[in-house]
Amino acid sequence: MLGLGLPFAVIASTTLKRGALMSALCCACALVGFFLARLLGRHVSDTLRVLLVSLGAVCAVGGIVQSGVFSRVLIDGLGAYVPLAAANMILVSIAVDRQEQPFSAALRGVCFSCIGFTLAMCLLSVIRELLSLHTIWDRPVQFSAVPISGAALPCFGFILLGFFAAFGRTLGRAHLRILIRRTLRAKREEKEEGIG
Amino acid sequence: MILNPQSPPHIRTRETNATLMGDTIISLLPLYAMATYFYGGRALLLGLTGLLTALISDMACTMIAGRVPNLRDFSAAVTGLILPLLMPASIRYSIVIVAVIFAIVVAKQPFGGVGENIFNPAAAGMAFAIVCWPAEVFTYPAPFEKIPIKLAADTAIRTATSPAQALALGGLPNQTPLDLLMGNVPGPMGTTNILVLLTCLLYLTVRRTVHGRATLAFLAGGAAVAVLFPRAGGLAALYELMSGMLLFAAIYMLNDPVTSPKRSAPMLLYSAMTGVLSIMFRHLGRYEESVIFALLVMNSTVWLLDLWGERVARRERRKAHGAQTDPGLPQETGVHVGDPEE
Amino acid sequence: MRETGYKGILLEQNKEPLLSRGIRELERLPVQEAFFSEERPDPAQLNASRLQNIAYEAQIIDESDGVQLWKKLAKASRDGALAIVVDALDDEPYISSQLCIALWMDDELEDAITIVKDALGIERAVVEIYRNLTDIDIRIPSKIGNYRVRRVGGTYPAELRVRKNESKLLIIGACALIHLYRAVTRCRIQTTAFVSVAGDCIANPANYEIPLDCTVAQVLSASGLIAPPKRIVTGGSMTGIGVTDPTSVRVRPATRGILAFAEQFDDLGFSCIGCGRCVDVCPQGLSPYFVHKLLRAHRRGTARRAAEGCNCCGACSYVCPAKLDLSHRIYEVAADGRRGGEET
Repeated sequence: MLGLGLPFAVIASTTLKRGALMSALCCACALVGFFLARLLGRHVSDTLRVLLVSLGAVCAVGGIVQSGVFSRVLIDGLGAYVPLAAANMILVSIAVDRQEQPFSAALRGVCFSCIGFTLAMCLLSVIRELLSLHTIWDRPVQFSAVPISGAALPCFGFILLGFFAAFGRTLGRAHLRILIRRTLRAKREEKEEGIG
Repeated sequence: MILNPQSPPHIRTRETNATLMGDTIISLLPLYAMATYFYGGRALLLGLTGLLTALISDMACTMIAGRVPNLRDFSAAVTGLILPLLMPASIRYSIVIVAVIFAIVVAKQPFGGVGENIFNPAAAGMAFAIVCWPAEVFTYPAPFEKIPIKLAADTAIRTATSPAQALALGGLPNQTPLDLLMGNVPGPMGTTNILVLLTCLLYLTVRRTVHGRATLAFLAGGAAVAVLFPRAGGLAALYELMSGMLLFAAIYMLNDPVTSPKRSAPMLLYSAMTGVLSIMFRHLGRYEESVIFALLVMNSTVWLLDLWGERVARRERRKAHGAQTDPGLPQETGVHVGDPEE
Repeated sequence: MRETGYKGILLEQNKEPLLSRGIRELERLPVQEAFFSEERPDPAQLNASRLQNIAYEAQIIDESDGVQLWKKLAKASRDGALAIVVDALDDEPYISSQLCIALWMDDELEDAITIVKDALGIERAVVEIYRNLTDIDIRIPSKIGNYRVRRVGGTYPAELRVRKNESKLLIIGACALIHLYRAVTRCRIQTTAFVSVAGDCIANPANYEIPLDCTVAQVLSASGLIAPPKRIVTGGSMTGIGVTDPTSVRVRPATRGILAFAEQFDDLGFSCIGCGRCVDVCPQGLSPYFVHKLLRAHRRGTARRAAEGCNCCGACSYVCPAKLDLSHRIYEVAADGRRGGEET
């Protein structure tokens, strides 16, 4: 579901610094929106909740931008992607408030989504920065290969994302296979114990 | 003796996928010979690099996907041999490697491997190379300049303006059409020698590997735009058609069986539109050589052309056969196993 | 653009050396004669019903479509027919049993045609022979006795294409006519079939007259095997049936050929590359590539509609460079559609 915020984050995160900034913004939006939504809960009508959550998320973004954690230059460099990502994240946070689940479970879900999103974004931007500029976090890295300037293109970001998704699926399937093997082994041992 | 069950027909033609791709590879060898003649052994080494990279990455991807690699499948080899021919002879080896890896690992295998890709892998790899290194890919050495096999960073190569670049600048190239026919012009390694290219086209058409009419339609479409909107006076249209990668792409990449339409009407439309688009992109686009991008754009419409072709064919079939939907079984000339005695 | 032009494929006919050897008998499987009556009828006094009776008593089955001959004669005399067409087409490679009869037993064939013509009162008769026979050593005559030989041209499948206006014509296979001639002149029951035994495993390939109900294994060993066959086919090379157990398959009147090949088609592991050769050769104007793609995507409903009209000639499988098994699967899908298969 956090994938709704994805396109703008992918296009914008061509270096690690930018990727980190985008993830921070998106996570802030998501978390603030989530907390606000849970706080308001069923006490207000749905429309009002949406409005208030949007307001809260905008404030969160504004707060991060103003706080000075990230340099002005970096934020200006991202330009229009900041509000775009924020707007998308507002929609996402409304989707993730999961009113019917208990608070701890929903909180766990949102936190893990944010962590995963940040990890994926940072990995993506590290690869793109390495390939196109041969730097990490703006520090040059020894790399004897050619600089592939095309890695900074948006389409390359999506191509990489596709490969990540494939890799993720492979990991998931391998995990499933391990689980199945473990279950079968346990069942076999049970049966042997039962017979013996 | 119990035999395996077989379904008809019980005789097959001798041609296989391997012979089809093998024909294409054979027709690329004269082009490599000409490139070696003009630029030295580096041309061959570039070709070898492309070939090995393609084979290795194709096999790696096939095994990762869990499929059994087929050693007789030469489609990756064709991609690996075509890409270096589109580059100048003085290009770095690493650029060829990256372009070929992109072609196989991004443009071919994720779509499903052999026979399932939508975009021509060689065109996609070349497009990636053009976008990443526009200066290097379009800097052509002068012909007969023997380029050393290992290029040090400070080796000076005498570069020259290719006909495509001259046209892009707004003037006629200073080589005669005869020079262009013989390949005595700067340009991509394998695409300058028009005479050899035409011979290869003839060979491939006779072997039915490519559709000659499609290439002609492509050239006709391009010629129409070039004649209607000439960039320079005089024989500009002729120069347009003979410069750059146009003819090479028309022979090898336009007729790629996987990514082109199957019926003749959509194929002719596809070829003509690609020709029109490539000349238009030359006039209006950023690079002086854009047939690759025109091809990729038309590749994305092939599914639509095929669908249209099938609808038209179905309508014609209904008209020809009338209401008869059951042509009946062919004459039974076999024996029914287990038939009760008549 | 005319996409339903009759394309088809030009096949290498491989009819020699069978054609030059005439009709032979196998020593180990001698022909047993059987008769249904002692008295010999007068051929000049035959009428339609008498001829039908003779055909019925002799149990003659037409080899070109497996229909009993007396039924065909009955229909022709009831509805009237424009002409008699003697089927000696043989457009499939290796198969030449009908053609051999037309060339080597032409006198009997001519007499048989005359008998049918006079009995049923049909004015015209023509013998159809395939035109594109390029590698044969014998000259095909332009007339068999008094009857014109019509060369049917075109690519394979010529026979499937030519049989369009069947209801107006009386089409009889050449072998059935020979059996009819024997039945009329000597009251012989049909106890044999004319079979082309060919293929690269056969020591003595020829057109043999083989007694009915011999097993395929007996025929193969009688004609001599020089190599153990990997594939045995009864019927035509393009439309025949693969035999899995030769000791259980018997020669029937409609058996036209027994072929034994040493070469097995290995599964080369090629996938469809979309070369489009199948689309070029389909005589019905279908796109086997399209149907194959739809079947792979499990869209059977659309595949049924796209495969409408397939006649299983096998041309698409023949030309496919990836050696896919196209024609059989497409024909099954089309048959499914005709039966009104459910949408999946």
